[in-house]
Amino acid sequence: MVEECRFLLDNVFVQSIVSDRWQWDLDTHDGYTVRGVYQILTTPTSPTIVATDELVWHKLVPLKVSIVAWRLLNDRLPTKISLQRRGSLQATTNTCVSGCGMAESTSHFF
Amino acid sequence: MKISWIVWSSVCLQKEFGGLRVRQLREFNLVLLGKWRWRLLVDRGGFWYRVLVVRYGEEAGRLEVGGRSISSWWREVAKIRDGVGEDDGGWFAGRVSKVLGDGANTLFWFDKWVGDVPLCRRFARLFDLTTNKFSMVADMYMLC
Repeated sequence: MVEECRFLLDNVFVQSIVSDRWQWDLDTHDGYTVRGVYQILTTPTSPTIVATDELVWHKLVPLKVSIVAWRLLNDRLPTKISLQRRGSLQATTNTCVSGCGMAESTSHFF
Repeated sequence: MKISWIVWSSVCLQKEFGGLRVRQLREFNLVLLGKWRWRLLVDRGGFWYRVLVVRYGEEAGRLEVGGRSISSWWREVAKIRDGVGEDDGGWFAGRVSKVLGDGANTLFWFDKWVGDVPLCRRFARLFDLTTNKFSMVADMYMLC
């Protein structure tokens, strides 16, 4: 442990001209800003789909296609599972129409 | 017209994530308090800092939390500083580090100035053996 510590410290040099200063690791240029830190604290940690903005809402893509794609990515297609969750369908009738015997969920579609 | 209900936590998200950027008050308050915590580090010459020193006392370059009758503002700021209720040293303390100059104002053991964790955690057993735990980096290099 002493060796490791010594090795670590051997590569550091103090500079007598400049004084020590604090650094905010997430923004080494501007330091701590309320805007920046609030953004970091409130950004969802799970990898959500952000890059889809240009893909889904592309002006060459027909609007109805964009809407279906958006509903798909946000899990808002009226699949049998989600209809059931909203109480529109009985529990026994949630199997996929292709007859594969699985429940019809958003991820099952494709 | 049918009203579409959206869960509140989604409404509060940034627009990039499909929200309306409604402020989350708890988080926003925390961030504003954190700004004071940041100023405690970088604005020590300020008059407000001297007021705090007189009001709560200072030991080893660190403001005391103070015992009774402390302002609720200071209690919350001190909580952020000490990372109360968080294992990783806190969302604040884990994200500040010292850029070394002459080493005269950097605590050798407690400040994060080399590597990702302060040396008192990285070399916990060496730290236990240390008599002067509040040495500055400059002092330690003088010894070498």
